[in-house]
Amino acid sequence: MLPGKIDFITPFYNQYHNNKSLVEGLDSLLNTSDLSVKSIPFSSDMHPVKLFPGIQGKSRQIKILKKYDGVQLLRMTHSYKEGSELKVEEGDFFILEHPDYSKVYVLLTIASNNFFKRSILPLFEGHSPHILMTFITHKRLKRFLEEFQGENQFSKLTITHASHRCRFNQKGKSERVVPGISWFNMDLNEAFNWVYQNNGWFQSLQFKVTAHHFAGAEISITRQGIVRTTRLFSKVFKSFILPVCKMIHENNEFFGNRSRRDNRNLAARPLTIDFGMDQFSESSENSKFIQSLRRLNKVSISVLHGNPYIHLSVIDYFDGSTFDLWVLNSNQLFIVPQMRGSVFSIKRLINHIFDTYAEGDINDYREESIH
Amino acid sequence: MSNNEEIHDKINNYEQTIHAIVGFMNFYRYDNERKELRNDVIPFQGRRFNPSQAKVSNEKGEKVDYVTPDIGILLPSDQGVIGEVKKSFPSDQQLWFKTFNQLMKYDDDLIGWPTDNERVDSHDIVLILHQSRGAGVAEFYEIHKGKEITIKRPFSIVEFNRSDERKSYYFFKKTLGKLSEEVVDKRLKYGVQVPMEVFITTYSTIKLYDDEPPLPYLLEVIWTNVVLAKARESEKFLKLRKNQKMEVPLEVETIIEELHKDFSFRSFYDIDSERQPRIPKREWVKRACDKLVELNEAEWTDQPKTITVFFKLYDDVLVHFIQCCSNEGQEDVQMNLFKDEGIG
Repeated sequence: MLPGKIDFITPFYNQYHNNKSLVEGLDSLLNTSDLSVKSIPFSSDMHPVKLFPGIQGKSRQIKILKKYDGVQLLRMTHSYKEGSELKVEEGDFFILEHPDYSKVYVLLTIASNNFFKRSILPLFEGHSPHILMTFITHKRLKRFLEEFQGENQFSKLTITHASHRCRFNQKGKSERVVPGISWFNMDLNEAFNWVYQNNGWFQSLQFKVTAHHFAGAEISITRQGIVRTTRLFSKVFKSFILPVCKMIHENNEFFGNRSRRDNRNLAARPLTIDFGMDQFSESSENSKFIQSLRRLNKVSISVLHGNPYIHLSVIDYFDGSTFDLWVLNSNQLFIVPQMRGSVFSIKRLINHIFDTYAEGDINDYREESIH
Repeated sequence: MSNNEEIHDKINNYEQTIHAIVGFMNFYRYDNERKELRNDVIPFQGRRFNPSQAKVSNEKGEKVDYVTPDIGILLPSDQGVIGEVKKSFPSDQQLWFKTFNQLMKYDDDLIGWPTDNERVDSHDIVLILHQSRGAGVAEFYEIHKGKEITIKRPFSIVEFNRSDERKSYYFFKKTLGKLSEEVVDKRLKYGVQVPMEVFITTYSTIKLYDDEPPLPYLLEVIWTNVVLAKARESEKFLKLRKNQKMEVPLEVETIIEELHKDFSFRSFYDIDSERQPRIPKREWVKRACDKLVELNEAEWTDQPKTITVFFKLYDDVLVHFIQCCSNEGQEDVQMNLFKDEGIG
């Protein structure tokens, strides 16, 4: 703390917090400092009070500093090697319990970007299936941004930085998906048109908000629902974080209880991905699809039938979930979770398909009447 | 045809036979007006029937304890249907008599129906076969009926074929005879297309019927659905790496019971019966276990009751076992999977 500067942070941490005061407190804190708030909406079967001490390891110690009603403050000490040097970093973060959705939480922190990237994110990514993040489809990502702009009457959202993936069809070779990073200065529609024309999709986006009464905020959002902002936290919370929490909750409800062993008579509860177009009209598409699935790590893909229809037997070695996958018409994929089909694994499978093959609408399978 | 291709064709035939059984049963199970499954129709697969006194001996004079048709359907009128599915027929027509001899055994006052006295008033006999042989076998029957082939009960031939247009479907059509159930007879007279997607749940939950599956297929089913389930109970499972293996002790009885409960036609009937043998049969599972031992992927701890499987993370469990059973390269297997089958 520089001499003469008012310390807003210490009182903020010392203050009692509930859901509302935490969001308001972070909002005001951003107005008075150069900090940014990083957030990870997630879901877990375990309450954070049990979860975080449970997943700490040798390199990460996690202590619960304060337990409020629906909010906890935790401190992580992370030691890691950089070259031959052992580094130890410490950072605090809040866990906010969603008031309406059980098992849905939001991590919020004003710790440094480096601590967030180096210590917090890997902890989350490394502890699936105990911690589940989400996946935002490209269509929905655009809708979130448009609604954010519209609801707050911002004159412009300018995409400043994006990581994306583009599909390339090489003559005589299988399709390649190439990751890339671009620095744009495009408005929303221009940027989405650009990525569409390049046969790709955004993995994450950073944008600036411009309004006549407002100096500007720099906000970023990833497909996993991770949000960072330098200002306007309350608005960002309302327009991005809460909708992502809702998505997580809806996914938990929708993907839950799909294991056959959870159902009466061991009945299967399949899902469909509707691509909305003749995705599988060419038979070459079958091998493209299977090849893209084979790129998912820690799985077994057994092809019982590859052409003209597809029947796959899939094992997810992450948690031992198993699925039968079928393509029996040109625009749908059927996913049948077997005896165990966890929420984590269903999401992992679908995210991978959306990420490396094509996006579609997820629906409950309904037996058609054809007889 | 390479050995790998042959194995794959056998797996394909095995799956298609299950699909044909499911599809044919459904003409009786599904109420087309109410658009729901009827609970007064009882379908079963691989049920053992005792022959009547008149047929306790076969043509060679040997005692026949029981017959096990592929399909049995009990209708609320106490009428029944017995069906036999033949995906492939040999080219030598002399061998076709074997199938008809089998059908003639079903032309009997069979004992073992799920009724109070284990009998029905009468039943149809239906041969369900692939369309490629439909006309030929019907002609063969017409030539030999009343001579070498005598079937007194109502007899029909229904052919099926898998086709692929915008949707993949099975086509069923009656080519000979008259089915006693008017509604079904009428529908099958001109043929019915049944989209495969209608049976997604059934196809995914029935992977075995009472004919022994190709060994690599059975190994894949055991590995994916029983060995894996047992492996993940251990804490070691989540930490297992590709080049490592973990020991998974298993009772042969567990393999049979789990697969019977979860992946056979068991789900079609509520009550276990001695007439309904458990599928997979013990000897098939024993052969699969022996193969794993031969491949050094398991060892008997108490033969033939308990085995310890060395579980590994394979990228493609089926290809692994096809390769192990055929001694051919993996590439051949992969190529075959995308072989264009054409339409019709």
